[in-house]
Amino acid sequence: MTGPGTPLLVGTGLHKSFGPTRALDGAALSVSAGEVLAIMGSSGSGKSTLLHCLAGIVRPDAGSIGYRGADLVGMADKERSALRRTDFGFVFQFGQLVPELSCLENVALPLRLTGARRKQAEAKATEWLARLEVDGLAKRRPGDVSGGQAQRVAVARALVTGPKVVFADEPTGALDSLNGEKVMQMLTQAARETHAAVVLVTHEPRVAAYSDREVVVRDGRTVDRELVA
Amino acid sequence: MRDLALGLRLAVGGGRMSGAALLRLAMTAFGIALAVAVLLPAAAVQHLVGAQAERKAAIAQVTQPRAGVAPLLVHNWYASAGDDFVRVAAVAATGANSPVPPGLSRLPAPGELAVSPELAAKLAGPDSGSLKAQLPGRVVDRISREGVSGAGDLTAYYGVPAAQIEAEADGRKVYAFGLPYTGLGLSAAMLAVIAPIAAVLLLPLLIFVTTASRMGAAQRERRLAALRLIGLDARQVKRVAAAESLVGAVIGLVAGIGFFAVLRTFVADILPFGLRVFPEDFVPSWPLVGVIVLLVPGLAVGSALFGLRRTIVEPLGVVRQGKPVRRRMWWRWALTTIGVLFLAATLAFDRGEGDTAAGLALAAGSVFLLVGVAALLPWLVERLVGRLHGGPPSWQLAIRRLQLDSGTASRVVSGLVVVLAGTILTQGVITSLSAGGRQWRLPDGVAAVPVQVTTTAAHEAEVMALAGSVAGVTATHPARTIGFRSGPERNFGVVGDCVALKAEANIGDCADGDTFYVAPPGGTAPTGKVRLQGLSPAGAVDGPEWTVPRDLEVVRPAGTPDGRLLITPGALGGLTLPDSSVRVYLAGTGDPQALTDSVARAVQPLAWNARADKSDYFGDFDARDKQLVESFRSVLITALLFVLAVAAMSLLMLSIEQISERRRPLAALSAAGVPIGVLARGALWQTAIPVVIGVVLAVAAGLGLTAPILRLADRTMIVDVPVLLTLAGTTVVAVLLVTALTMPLLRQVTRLDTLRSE
Amino acid sequence: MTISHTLLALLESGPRHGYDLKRAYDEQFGQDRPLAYGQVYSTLSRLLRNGMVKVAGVESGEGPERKRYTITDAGVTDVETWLRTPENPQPYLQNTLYTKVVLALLSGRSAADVLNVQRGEHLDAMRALTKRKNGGDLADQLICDHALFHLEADLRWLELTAARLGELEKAVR
Repeated sequence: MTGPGTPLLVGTGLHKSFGPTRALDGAALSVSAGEVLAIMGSSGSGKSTLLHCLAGIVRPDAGSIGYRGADLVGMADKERSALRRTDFGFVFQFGQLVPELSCLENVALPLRLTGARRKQAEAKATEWLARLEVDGLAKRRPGDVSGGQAQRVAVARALVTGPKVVFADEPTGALDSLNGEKVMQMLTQAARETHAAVVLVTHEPRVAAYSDREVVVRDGRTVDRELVA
Repeated sequence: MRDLALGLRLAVGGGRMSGAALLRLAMTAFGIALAVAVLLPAAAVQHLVGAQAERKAAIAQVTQPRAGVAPLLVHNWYASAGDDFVRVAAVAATGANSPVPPGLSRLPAPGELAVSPELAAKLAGPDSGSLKAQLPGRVVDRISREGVSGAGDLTAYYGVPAAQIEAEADGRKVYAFGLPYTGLGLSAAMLAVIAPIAAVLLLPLLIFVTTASRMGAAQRERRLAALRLIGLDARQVKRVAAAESLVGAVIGLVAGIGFFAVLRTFVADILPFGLRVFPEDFVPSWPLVGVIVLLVPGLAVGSALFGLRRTIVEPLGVVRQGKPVRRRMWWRWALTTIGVLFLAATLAFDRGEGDTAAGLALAAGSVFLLVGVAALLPWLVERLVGRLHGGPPSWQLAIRRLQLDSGTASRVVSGLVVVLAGTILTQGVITSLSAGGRQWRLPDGVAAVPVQVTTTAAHEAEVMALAGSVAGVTATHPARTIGFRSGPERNFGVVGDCVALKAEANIGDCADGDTFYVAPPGGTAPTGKVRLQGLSPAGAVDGPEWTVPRDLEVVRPAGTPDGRLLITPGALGGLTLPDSSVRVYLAGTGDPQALTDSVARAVQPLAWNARADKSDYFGDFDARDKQLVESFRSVLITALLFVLAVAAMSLLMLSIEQISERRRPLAALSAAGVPIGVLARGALWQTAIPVVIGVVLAVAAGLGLTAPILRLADRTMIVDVPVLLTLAGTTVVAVLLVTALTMPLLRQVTRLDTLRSE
Repeated sequence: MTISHTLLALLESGPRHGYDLKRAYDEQFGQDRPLAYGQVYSTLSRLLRNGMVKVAGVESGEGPERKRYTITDAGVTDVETWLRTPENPQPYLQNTLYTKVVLALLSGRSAADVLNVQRGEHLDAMRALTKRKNGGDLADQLICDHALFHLEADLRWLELTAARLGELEKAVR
């Protein structure tokens, strides 16, 4: 049983290149259960790549990522995919909801993929939509709601399966201040209520202010707060 | 000009093209190439037919006297063996300046034969024995292309002494060759038949080309909107867009022309139905080429511009999912209703009856119904899909996608539906018609006399002598065809011994002195005195009077309604018959075809005056009919597969387009752990549903249309199940293939690149 | 406070006269407001009293006596500590922060570390403000937001400066 404070997801010595570009050059970090970690850095610093590696979306060229005793790097794509389905949740900056499904169906989708029946899945989804105060939009399509509302639906979708870690990549990037604040507040609150850790990639200080701890990525490397003497 | 250049650069991507742009270019080029490759042969056919007509006029025989020209004596007749009918012209010059037929360098001397290229090919091939046996003379010369109308014509010129032709009643004097060519004179009826067929075949291609040129619409819209915002006016932007789509169009044009050029070299080998063409004829006429070269790329460019009109007008228009445009339904329903009304009108006719009006109503009704059904398809898909819900996630994704926008896919499938229904219709009609034909049967006595020689009274003795001496022939039985009239009524009959008469009808027991009458339904035997007539090509010549015996036996006909008198010589009582056509039946042993060939060779010296045939000629007819149906079916299936392939490619492009547009949500789904199998199955259902609905509709329409047509022709409907199963199977395979081909893109889209938001 | 540390840090590179110090200060930091001689000398005498500097030598010549000052070990330690210790995050801090960065560069220390440490401190302050804001009433929210925005401005500046360190180093030396 992982209690608060125990490392949940630990990445060490991560290297990743895309052709000639070196995105990660020996990055390392660890996320503890229930904490909100901000990954900060400027554009092109490699922070999104770091998030993708940690989440098992992309396999790093070198290094290891430990999650509950298993090494994500060594896993086959199918296993990582299954892990993402059950243990991880995702919130992206935009374009993540399926435009032809209704908001309710979007949120219910991950549950259905783990085998839940439609009625149960949609009931749970309705719960979550209510929690994020967007239950009135259940029947509408993502294209018909505002950005802030869509992001909250995305947060609901990320949390509906009860994940251990929620990965958020610039979740408020396309939103105005007020909507951004609302989304961040609801995200962190809901995550805390379900004891999920949050790995948050952002370059905005006020968004990072919702975290418990931050890690800075510069030129593919992680820089911690402690001074190197 | 600058704008066009800019457009060109945009199209080519300034050096490095993205995968989507390259695909669009390839697809547009391919679609245009295909369209051109279909249109050019069509234009070539038109030229071909014209060239043939021109040559036909050039070899026409002019019989009007001209001063100073010694006429050429000509006697035309037909020799035949199996399926091959050869038009032979016996020629004899009367003077030094007798006209020489076009295509020959000199007239054949007596006993010499000049043959057309196709005939020469047939004589050189295997199984030419029967044909050789039927032709007189020996082959010394070949008719060149100018002397032959169509490449498949079987014609020959046979040199004979002038006296032989002068002895013939229907010999003619030819003073020159060549009538003025009055043009093709394509009848309106022919055009009315060809035009719809061409349109129907081209419809899927059209849809393909327009879909291809609209690919990548979202990206292109953004690009052009950007251009508008930096200051280019609407006209300039249109030019840029036109130039962009022109690149693909030009490439396609060149490819299509190249394909046609290659096709031309071996076109002669691939034609069905035993058709033959001269490659030199198979060239499209220049005006048509010009039209095609301008029209097809113009279409692609035009449709691209048409698709962009919204952006050009308001560049800031957000590409948001607005409410889908309400379909205008009334004209779709109108078309279908008109079609149904026409078809219902044919119910007024009794089964089996029908005239031109009914035929026209059927044709018009079919066309209206087909087009109406195709137009209704999008609405139908929308309705059906709207009712569906639930099911596994992959199904859900597909249904919702279709509910959001099924228009384009339905349009593609519409083209397919029309052709499919039309094919099923044609196939059904042909099969039912040919299968239900009334069986013609020959009299049983034919088996005893496998060979018959048709000749005239003058040559009867010679034929009997020549044929009788052929190895394998055991007996000769001459039968003379005569006419008899009583008052105004005329009829005809056959005089011959019992063996010969038994070959003419099923008469049962026969002895010399008997007379028989083959009665048609509701007919009565003639009685009393009749006047006998001799029948020949020259006409009917009156002969002696004769009393019809009272103990006439009436028999039923074997096949056609009859009405002939069959008379044994004994019943004539010694009357001399006038000269008439004679058919000498030969009894013999061995293979009937081989025997016939031997006899034909034996009577060759008589040229047109004696023709040897198998007595059982129906066997050949049946075989020929079956072959015709088979060829027709294979042509239909080929056309259908072609159309299906084009439709499948259109669907493929659509699928690719949609996946590209939704790459972000798909990538997000994949990141959230949705297995790619779910996404793939979603793509499968998305393609499959409109296609399945379309195919079901097409089959229903096709079969539904076959019924009234067959009703009018008074035939029972035979459903060609194998063909339907093939159609169904091919459709399934096509859908699976399309989905499989989108897999690489799906995989690529769910990889990292799309997730990078920086 | 800052001026004494600044002068002290400037002395690290070597003994200087009073007017040398003023000149150096004005060059780096005095664009808007040059330092007054009086302030220089009074700061120097305070530092002398506290044992941070000592007199290295006296040069006689025309005009007032010119003392040359030099930094003591205690002074060096003081500069170290000052540079290492983050400032209390509050608005309008950038003068101090800028000064620190430049001085770090001049003395060959890691300016990046200075920025790093400060950023952490700022973020912690922002965290506290965010917590307070989410738990408070509307008035609280408004006040916290105001502070948060300013802190954010500072942080952004810190980021920018960190990205520009290379250029800055060249300009300063």
